[in-house]
Amino acid sequence: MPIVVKNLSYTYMKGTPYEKQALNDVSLTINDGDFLGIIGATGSGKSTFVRHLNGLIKLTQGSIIADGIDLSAKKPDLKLLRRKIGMVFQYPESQLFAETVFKDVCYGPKNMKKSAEECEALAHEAIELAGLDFEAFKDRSPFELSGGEKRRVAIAGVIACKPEYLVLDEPSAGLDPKGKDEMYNLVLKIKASTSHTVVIISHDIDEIAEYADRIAVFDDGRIYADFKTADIGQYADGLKERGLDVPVTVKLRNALKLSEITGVRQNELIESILKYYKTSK
Amino acid sequence: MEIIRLENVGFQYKDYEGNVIEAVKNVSLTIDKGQFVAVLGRNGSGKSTLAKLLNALLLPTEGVVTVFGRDTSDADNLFEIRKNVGMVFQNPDNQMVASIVEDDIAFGPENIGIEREEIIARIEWVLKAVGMEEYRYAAPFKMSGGQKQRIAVAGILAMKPEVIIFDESTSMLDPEGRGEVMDVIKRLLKEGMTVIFITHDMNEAVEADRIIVLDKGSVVMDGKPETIFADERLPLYNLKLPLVTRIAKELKDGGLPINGSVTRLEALTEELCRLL
Repeated sequence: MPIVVKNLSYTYMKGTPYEKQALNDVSLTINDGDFLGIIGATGSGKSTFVRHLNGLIKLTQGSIIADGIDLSAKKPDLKLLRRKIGMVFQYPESQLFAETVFKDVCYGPKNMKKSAEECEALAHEAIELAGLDFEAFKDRSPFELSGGEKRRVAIAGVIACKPEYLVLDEPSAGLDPKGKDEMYNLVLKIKASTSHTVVIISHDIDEIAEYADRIAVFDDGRIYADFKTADIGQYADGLKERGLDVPVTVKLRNALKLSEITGVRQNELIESILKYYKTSK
Repeated sequence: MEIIRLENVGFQYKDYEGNVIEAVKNVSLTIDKGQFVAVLGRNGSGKSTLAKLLNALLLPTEGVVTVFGRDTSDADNLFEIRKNVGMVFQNPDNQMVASIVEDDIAFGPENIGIEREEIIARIEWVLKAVGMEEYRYAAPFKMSGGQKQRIAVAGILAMKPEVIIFDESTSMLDPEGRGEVMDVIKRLLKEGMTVIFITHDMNEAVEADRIIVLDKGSVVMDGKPETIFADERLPLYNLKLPLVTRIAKELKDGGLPINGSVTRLEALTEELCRLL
């Protein structure tokens, strides 16, 4: 079932001199199977929006029905909600806390009252899915791992609860170029196996254009546009006006001004240029 | 003119289990005044350790680091070295010390004993240099990441350093914030500042005069961006080509007679317009 957000508004520190409206009448439906990229300048409301989805920020205005759970109800089942919607925060490795990788990853399933055997099975599966060898890593301290490994452990801790929806806030920030590629491949792998719906916040439009199927653009607390990644070319000017970047592929395509050349993903564009060159010659 | 020299520099420390970690190994290099040097390398390759060795936040356990001919290991030199080599870190929130911009900027010069009148003059000058004149009395905590980072740069500039090191200073910023910081850097370079820029973003590294690649604490590549990005060893160090170069290279491999090593979008567009 989808996550349906309607007319969501939110103001921080309401009634104080520091009052700031972070969200202003936002409506967005996240469908089953979406790979949604959320972009927008710092302070545009992206993080405030996703924090509403699993009830980390209490709904004050508007409505959210997340996979059938109505968050405007008096006492929504937040436990169930958080089991369904897994959240990976920015620099999630800073949230590791247990002495061993195994214990850290087991924390979620344990809180779900799973038996020891079930916990072990879930942790095993999650750690392997995160791209780490279970036997080699389970007894190590998460604090002695490399940055990329720590982040994988943190993600394993989230996917061990088998959320149907996975929300990631800047998952590739601070990683080296190869680490970034690996992170996105990991997200694709998770999407194909446990969490079929993925929402990613990122400042890197080239990454989003390469991996997401759909893009929602936040601007000053509102949604400026929501479109299929393939249609991003039409929004190039609007993105620039909002201080956002346009993917390199789209910039190149727009500069060439040839209607036969298409594609937003790098391979699509390259193929299209090669094909055009061969047929026009 | 050479301003930084490293001779067989090493830095070792013991982790909590007592294992010796060699974060920097046998590095020898010099950096000239006015250079824009990008430092690349995988996570944990020693980039930040190297940066901290340059302004004596860390002292080498082997070899010698000299800044303006002064040995960083000599405690008598610390004041001059730290005054002349400023550092901007990753998270702008960790670098703000005051609740008003001008107080924040005054913190550095006050600490090195600059006269009040001179500090006031410098505040005006540095805010102009980073394009934030109208924020003199503003509160940093209300600003965007890019603005805060520019205030952090202004605070360093107010000490009139010769060198500024940016340690992944753009990685937490949005594209606009990155652009703002990059514009400030270009302005500083024009005025003869030396800039050392640690990054994971290949598109930013393209802008530098020189790229140094570190791996396992050692320098494995050192040269102009064109040379570095033409080097086939790049993936070995977890690095990638800038996106434009990647596209150019694949087009060339696919049979298009173009220069496969261009790094800038304008250059690639020109190459393609010629052909298509």
